[in-house]
Amino acid sequence: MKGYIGVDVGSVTTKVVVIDEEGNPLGTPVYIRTQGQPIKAIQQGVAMAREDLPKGIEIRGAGTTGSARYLAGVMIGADAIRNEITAHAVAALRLDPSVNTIIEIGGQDSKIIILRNGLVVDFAMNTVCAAGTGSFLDRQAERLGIPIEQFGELALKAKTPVRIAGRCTVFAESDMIHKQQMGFSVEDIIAGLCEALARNYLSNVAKGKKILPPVIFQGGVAANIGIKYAFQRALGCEVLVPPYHNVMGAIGAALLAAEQMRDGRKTRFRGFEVAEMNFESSSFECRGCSNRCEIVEIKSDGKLLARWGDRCGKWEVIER
Amino acid sequence: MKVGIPRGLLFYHYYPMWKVFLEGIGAEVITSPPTSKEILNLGTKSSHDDVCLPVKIFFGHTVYLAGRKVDFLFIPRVVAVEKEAYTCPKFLGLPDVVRNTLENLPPLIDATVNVKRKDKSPLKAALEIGKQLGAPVSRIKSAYREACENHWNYRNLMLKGFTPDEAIDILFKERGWEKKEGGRDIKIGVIGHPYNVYDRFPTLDLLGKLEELGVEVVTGEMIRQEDIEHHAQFLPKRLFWSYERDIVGAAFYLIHKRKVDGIINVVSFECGPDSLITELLQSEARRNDNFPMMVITLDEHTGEAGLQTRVEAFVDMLRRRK
Repeated sequence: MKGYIGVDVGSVTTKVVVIDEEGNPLGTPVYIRTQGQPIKAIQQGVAMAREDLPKGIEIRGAGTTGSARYLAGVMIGADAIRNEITAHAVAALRLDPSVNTIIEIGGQDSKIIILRNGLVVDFAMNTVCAAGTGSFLDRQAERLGIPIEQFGELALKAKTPVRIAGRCTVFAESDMIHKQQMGFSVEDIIAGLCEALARNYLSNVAKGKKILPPVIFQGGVAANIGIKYAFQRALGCEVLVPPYHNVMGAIGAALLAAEQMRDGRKTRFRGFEVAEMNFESSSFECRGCSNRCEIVEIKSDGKLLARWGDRCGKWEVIER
Repeated sequence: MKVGIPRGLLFYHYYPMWKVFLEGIGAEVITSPPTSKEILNLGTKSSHDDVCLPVKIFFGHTVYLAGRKVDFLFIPRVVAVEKEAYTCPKFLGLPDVVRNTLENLPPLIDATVNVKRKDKSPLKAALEIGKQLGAPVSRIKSAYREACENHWNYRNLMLKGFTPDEAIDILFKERGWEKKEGGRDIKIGVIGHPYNVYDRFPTLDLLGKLEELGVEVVTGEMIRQEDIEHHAQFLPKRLFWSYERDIVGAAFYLIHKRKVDGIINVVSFECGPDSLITELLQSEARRNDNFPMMVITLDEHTGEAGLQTRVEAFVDMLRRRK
């Protein structure tokens, strides 16, 4: 049976999935924390994906996406290295070809993708500020001593969500502390936070865009049912959270790889042995000019796989 | 006598003209190197925090040149380049801002160009500069004529599709440039102030990235002025600022005539005029069947990863629509 592997390495989590030609996951999709060590996370993710794979699957293509897509692409030997917008759009379209809006909120960034008739027509990403993304929710859950998994459920128990400033995480946090010290219940505060985040997303990331149903909500934060309901209230329409919402980027990367391989070429995928290979990364500052670029090298058993980070291109090596 | 021309702001509009004129009256022209981390650092260190990024970069180039023992710095005050409009306020006060912000500068050549006033015409400015540098009037006049001619050569090269850097090389290094190879499947208009669009440092080499992705790029300088003027008239009211009017006209032309598959509008974060014209461009794009347009906002913290993702996604979007 033919399979395609997709790897999505985000700032906070790493996702690995193997799909069949129709885009259905084979085995359990892997969703683990990157913990600041993408190389380790990629290897661990690939190892976990292998463990759970039905027998007799032949990987015919590999795709990577996410902010570490080039690193992941070099490590696993990717056929397609693509940006997250395209990957998320392709995965959502596979699920529902009529989707008009994709809300995607991950660990450090959030995006909106507007589609019409199965094509991306517009998109936006948060630029400098990570207010309202997964990392902030994580931090608040930790501060309140609530497991992040229960965050959404608790929000639904709220009677009267309090008003919290969602524009900036710093203000949101002090607002929350203030409300907490006034004696509001944790549920009401959490629900207020969910509403603030949805409001902030709609007025910053989705600014000026026409949001039409069907709306698909994906990315790690989509696990938070409180935010899903907050979006439904704000938009006045149903917001769908797909079953594999947190690995949609990886599914999209695998689909893009499958698309790439349609002409029958041979995959560059190094195989699941990637999990046991030795990868080292090192860096140095180039002193060739005043730009002082920081150059990163990726090696495997002493062999240079890739080098990047220079503006002029004199160090650049990418194994193709 | 050495005259330093900072490689920033109006450099991209007028450098060949300035260089030919200054050399024609006997000066040696020195420019700062392309913007680098060092130059940006020199600029941010010496400016207060609410000036725009292009001005900070200009300050960096100015400080750099001041440290290279030039006898004069060439920072003219360009007030108006046409009767009906002004330039951005930062150009009106540029020599004053430089003088009052930066220390240990050589004397400035800061002649005023204001075509609204007879006594501030470009020729009058040339005569003033020539006098400052001790050149005879006949020599100033012939240098001025040659400079104007060179300006039009420069503009014509850009109309043929060369970037300012390429055009400057063709003019002064007498190097022939191969026309870029065809076969690029999509065309993107990169619209914004030349000092943002063409400076490879703050844009993290946007033009290079597009080239690598197989995109043909059209910039405002590659569009004929009459087309720009004509399409700028679709605004209900004339814009106050000349260069910004050109940006609007260029983008409108590309949108109305469907000359490109999409537009990337490059703006700098603290820029007042940009904040207004970007809205004008976006609403015009929406009115024209949601013409694909992406805004890239530059500041000194612009991250490479985010920009790369956005540009790749925009190109993918246009490609998959075809």
